Amino acid sequence: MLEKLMQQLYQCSRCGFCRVWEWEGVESVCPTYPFTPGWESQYARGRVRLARATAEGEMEITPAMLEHVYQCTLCRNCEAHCPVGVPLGEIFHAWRVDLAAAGHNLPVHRQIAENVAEHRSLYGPRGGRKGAEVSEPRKVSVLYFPGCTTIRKARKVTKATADLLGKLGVDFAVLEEDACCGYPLYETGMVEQAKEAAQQSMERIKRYDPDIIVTTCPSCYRVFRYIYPEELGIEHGIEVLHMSQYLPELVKGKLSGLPVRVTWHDPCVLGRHLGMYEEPRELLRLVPELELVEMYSNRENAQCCGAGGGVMAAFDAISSEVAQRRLKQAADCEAAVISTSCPACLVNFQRAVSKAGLDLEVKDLVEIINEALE
Amino acid sequence: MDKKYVLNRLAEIVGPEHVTDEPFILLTYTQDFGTQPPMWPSFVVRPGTTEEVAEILKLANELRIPVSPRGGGSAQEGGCQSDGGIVLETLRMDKILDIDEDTGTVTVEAGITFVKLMNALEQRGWKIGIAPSGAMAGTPGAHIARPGVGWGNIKYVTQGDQVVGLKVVLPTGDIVSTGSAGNPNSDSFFRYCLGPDLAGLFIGSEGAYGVITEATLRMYPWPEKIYLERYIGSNLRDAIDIFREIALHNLVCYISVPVIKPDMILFDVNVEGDAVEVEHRLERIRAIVRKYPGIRFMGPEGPSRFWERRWFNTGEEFKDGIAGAVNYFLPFEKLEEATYAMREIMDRHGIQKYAQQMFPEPMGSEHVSLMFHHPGDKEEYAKIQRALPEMMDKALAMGGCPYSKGRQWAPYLEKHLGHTGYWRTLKAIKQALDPNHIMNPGVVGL
Repeated sequence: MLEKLMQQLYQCSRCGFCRVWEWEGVESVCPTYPFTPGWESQYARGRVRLARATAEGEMEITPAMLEHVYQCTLCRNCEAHCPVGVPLGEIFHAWRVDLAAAGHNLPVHRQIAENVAEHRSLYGPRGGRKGAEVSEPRKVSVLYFPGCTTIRKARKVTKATADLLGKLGVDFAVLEEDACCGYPLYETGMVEQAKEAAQQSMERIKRYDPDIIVTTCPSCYRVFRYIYPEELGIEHGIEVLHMSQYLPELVKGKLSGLPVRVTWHDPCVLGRHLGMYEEPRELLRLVPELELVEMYSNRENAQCCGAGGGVMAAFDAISSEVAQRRLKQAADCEAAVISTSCPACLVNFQRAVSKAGLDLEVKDLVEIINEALE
Repeated sequence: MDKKYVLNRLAEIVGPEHVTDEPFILLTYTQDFGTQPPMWPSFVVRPGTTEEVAEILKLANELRIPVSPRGGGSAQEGGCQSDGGIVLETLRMDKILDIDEDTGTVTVEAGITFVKLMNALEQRGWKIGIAPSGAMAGTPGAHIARPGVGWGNIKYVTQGDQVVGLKVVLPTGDIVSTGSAGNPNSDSFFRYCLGPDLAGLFIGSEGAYGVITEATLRMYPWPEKIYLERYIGSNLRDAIDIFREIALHNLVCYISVPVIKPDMILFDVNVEGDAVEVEHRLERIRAIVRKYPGIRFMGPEGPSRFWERRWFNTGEEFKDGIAGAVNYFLPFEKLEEATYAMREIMDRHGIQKYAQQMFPEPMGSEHVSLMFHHPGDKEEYAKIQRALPEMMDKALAMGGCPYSKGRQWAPYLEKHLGHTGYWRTLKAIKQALDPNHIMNPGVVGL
């Protein structure tokens, strides 16, 4: 895939602006770089050079190199701040696709692919926990697709969503059983495996014959809405909405006061990948008495939580430190709650709050709306 | 060289996580922001303190391994490359050590990026004099070692002029504090005292005499008002006359001339001070410009928009690719001739995309030629590589004086200066400070 992007790779002028900024709303362009040893190959400028080298067969691929490749969260902050407009997100993803196709990926990501293939969840078997109780599929107008991370690691979001949709009188079902949208495989370059996961998930989704699929996960939303039809050749024909798009019309005028100071964390996939900065903010503004405050880095400048691109699975310590840094921004704007709408961000923040020693609540967007719904 | 032995010794100094001989990492240190051909180091080391730098240089001196210091890797003349030696990257040394509002100085470690420094100062109501256009990636250690220029060229001249004191590690590992800090009972608050100005020895030495690890720079209260306006004309000579008069009367913080084309010259002036002072200076600038009817006033909007996003916008200039750069100082009277001479060479070699610019100083101007290409375009790269030597040769023959020399200018400096007392003195100092020639060999021509 990278061979199609060679011209774009050569656009990099090596200016180095993609390392750190500490100016105008950006602490560090690359969220992970400050928590790595800090070699050139651990932020975009060096990665571009390495991508060229591997694409042109100039450099042997080693396990150590792969670590530097996969320490990138694919947050696209470097792309948003590249003065010459190199499509870095596309490049780094294409690079992973080529590497994976040649058998070069991290063992932990291979394990995830195996987990999805065998257990339909990137987290593998459910262990001692009881399997999900799956209601008999029936035709519904709305199918809520929680996704692997929400089902396994953020049950409170599934519950809040089901509660909310119930209160709103929506004809809905929750896809409670394990099902992976394929995005974790897609972002680590394993496109074929992602396609298999997608087909499996679509089979389950179609049992409900939904008019709309709603998600609380930007990655699920992005794959269903864009990547399935555009890159994986899966034309499902079902409308797909992220909760921040679906809810405003339904809850407008129905929400009661919630006197709390909230800051919104833009998930990278929802924000920089899809440009949805205002939808969640507008939804939060519908809540009377809720005070929405912005962190130093917001919208296009928003700092990644550190979980994306397979980083949380492969580099736990880096991922946690990035999350702690982001949480400090939330504390700096004196928010009581940091809200987001991405299960990976949510999980990463929840475990980082105590490490950062901060008195902050981490809530999904849906939890807040559910609390405010009379 | 027993590479494993060297790696282990370096790891003992900085910790194993801060030194590498991994080929894939070394690859990313083979070039800077310019067009010099790649050079492969054997090691990259990232020290965290002056003392670690000293230990690295002692080891390198003992084992006769060349060492090339590197900051943000954002210069264009190959000054931070190494052929088989050690690249010593200073980016871990990124702290502001002291903001001294009593003496109006700020002391920083060499590897802090300028934007981080400037942002911290701005929050406290201060600024530095010279802000390099590559401030997002560039570092004071490297900028002083060139020595760089930047926004502020007329009022504050060069980064070298902003230096109050330096801490430098010599190739022997000795640590030298210059200026008032040469007195162990004093801090760095004054440059010209105690004895000869040792800071000047390292400013512009590009690491050939030692590694700058700390710098004390002057800082200034953030001005009450910063105002910019733009002018455009077609007569280069008229514009240069304007630059001279504005510069000699020290009316601006800087003049930026980002576009010089055969039929067009565009320049911005930046004026700072209190409101009354800015108004007075503007009146005088406009009176000077009015003497040249061919130069038109274009208003403040364009340059003000640029100023708001200045650090980012400087990078946008390179959308046409990496630039082969030929930058040097000339007195005002030679700028027109130089513009035509450089243009003739670039046109003759068929360079497809180039820019000519000027950034006036009080006594003359930096003259800039940038030849853009994307690295995959081997044909254009070859043309640029043919034009560069001719341009450097011509520039020196015209009396041009480059500030950032790196490896690119080295053969031409030696050709034009090699017979002079100046050159013999540079060599003698090199021999005295660095008898084993480990410090950035080849840079400047030393």
